[in-house]
Parts: sequence; structure tokens; C-alpha cells
Amino acid sequence: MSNRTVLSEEDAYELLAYLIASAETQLVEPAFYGPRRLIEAAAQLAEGISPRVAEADQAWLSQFTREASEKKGWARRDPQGFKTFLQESSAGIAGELKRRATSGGAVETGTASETASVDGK
Amino acid sequence: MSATPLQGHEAVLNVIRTRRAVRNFTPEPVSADLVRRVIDAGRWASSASNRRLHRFLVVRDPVRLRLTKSLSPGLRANPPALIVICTDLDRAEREGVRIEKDATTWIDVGTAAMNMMNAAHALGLGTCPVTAFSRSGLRVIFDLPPTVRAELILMLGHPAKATGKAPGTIVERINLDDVIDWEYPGGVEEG
Repeated sequence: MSNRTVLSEEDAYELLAYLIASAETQLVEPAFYGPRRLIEAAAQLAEGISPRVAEADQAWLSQFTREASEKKGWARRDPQGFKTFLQESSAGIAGELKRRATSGGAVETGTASETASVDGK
Repeated sequence: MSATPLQGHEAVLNVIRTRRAVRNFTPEPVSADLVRRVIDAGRWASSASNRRLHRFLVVRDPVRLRLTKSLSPGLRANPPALIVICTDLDRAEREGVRIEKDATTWIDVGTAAMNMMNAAHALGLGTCPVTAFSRSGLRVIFDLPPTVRAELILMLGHPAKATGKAPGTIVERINLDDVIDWEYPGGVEEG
């Protein structure tokens, strides 16, 4: 596993502020905004670390960031589609974790969907 | 007896019908003159008991824009300007307003924001209202005194032409007759 730093201090603080502010606003926002805010934070994190991770890791991060931007609004408009997106994203990041754990770091390439299929999803 | 429409009424109604929330902006700055014209429209909005409790904080400094965005989960865009509608709590107290119980202060935020959004649209600008932000966070960023409370953030900028729905597209989402009750719930128009 790699121990390199992949998030700048400034990006980390912005994400920290976003998470704390989201916790506060979630006290009054409709409940469906909860998962949306979390996925927005996850996309912000993915986008922040993407330039500094190994090239092999960038494909899934890019795809996730793109999909999160496109589908975050589904939390309200298409709850079932949003649920599917969250499930697929969880499976996708699980696949990434597994690949990294078994390869000793980021050495393989592949898109999120390819990774998911490797894991029998 | 029939009403006499004001001159230019169709243009006004068309602005109301064609305004849309804009979340994609060009980096082009918004001039102070345009900002003032937008806020002036808010100044002319209806106000409960004509109390005029609101102040308008203009944000165009890049650092303050970034900090505000960091503390505003509902601000997922990069507008070159923000207008924060604030309530002057001192003035509210002088006017005898029970600020936590009186919904008219919130309604007045809405009337001001709506006037400003329509004015901005008429001027060729785009806007989007934001209510998901940390009030306590903004208080620190802008050194807001305890007597000023941020209520709503309005994104303001020049719409990016190539992204999102084109501003000005008329979309009939709700049938007019489905939202009108004549005289009583479920009542229909007669004559």
C-alpha cells in the first residue's frame, strides 16, 4: 500500500469545511440531501486526489467524479436510479480497494465498470 | 371593467416566464453597475409593513468567493459574484418584529430575491438562490456582527452559453388550471 500524500493541505481544508457545513445544513435540509452531500464530498475528494495518484488509479476516480456530477441530482428526481448509482459506486470503490490490496498498490488499469465486473458484481 | 396593462407588460411577463436557475457561469466579472441594478430591483420588492429589514452583501473577491463556497454545500458552481441577503436584526427589533416567529421576514427575503433574479435575467445575467450554507461560518468569513444574519445567497454571473439548459427556454411544468381554486378548494372558473 502506498503512503504518499495525495491531497493538498488547501484541498483538505476545503473538504473539511464542506463536510462540517453539510452537517450543519443537513439539520434543516430535506433528508434526501444527506446522501447527496456525502456523494458530493466524495467526488470533491476524488477530484482532489486524482492528479496525484498513480496513473492506473485515475480511471476509476475520473469516472466516479463524472458520474457523481451527473447523477447527484437523482437523489430527488430518481431515487431508485440514485440508489443504484450508490450501490455501483460502493462496489466500484470496493473493487479498487481490493485491487490495490492484492497488487501491493496501484499497478493495474481499468475502468470502474471493468473493475466491478472482475469482482463478480 | 377591464384592467389597462402597463406599457411593456408582455416583456415583463416574458422575463418572469423565461428565467431559470443558472449554475454555469463564464469567468467574466459582473460590473458594479450591473450589481447595483440587480440590488436596486431587490430594494423595490414588497416588504411587510414597509419595514425594509434587509441588507445586501456583495462578494466578488476571489478569496471570499472561495471561502464562501467551502462553507456552502448548496453552492456547487463558480459564479464571479454573490449577493448575500441579510436581515438587520437591530432594525427588526426597533420595528418590534419577533424575528424567530414572524414569517414575513423570510417572505421578504423571497420577494427581494425574486425581484433580483428577474432583474438579473432581464439584464442578461444568470442567478441561482442558495439556502444551504453555514450561517455561523459566513459570520466568521465576513465578520458579520451579531445584529446581521445571512439569509440567502444569490449566485450572480454571465451565463455560460454552451452548458446546461438554455436560459430563456419556456417549460410548462405545471398546468395553470391545476393550481387554481376558484372561490373554494376544487372550485372552477365561472364566467
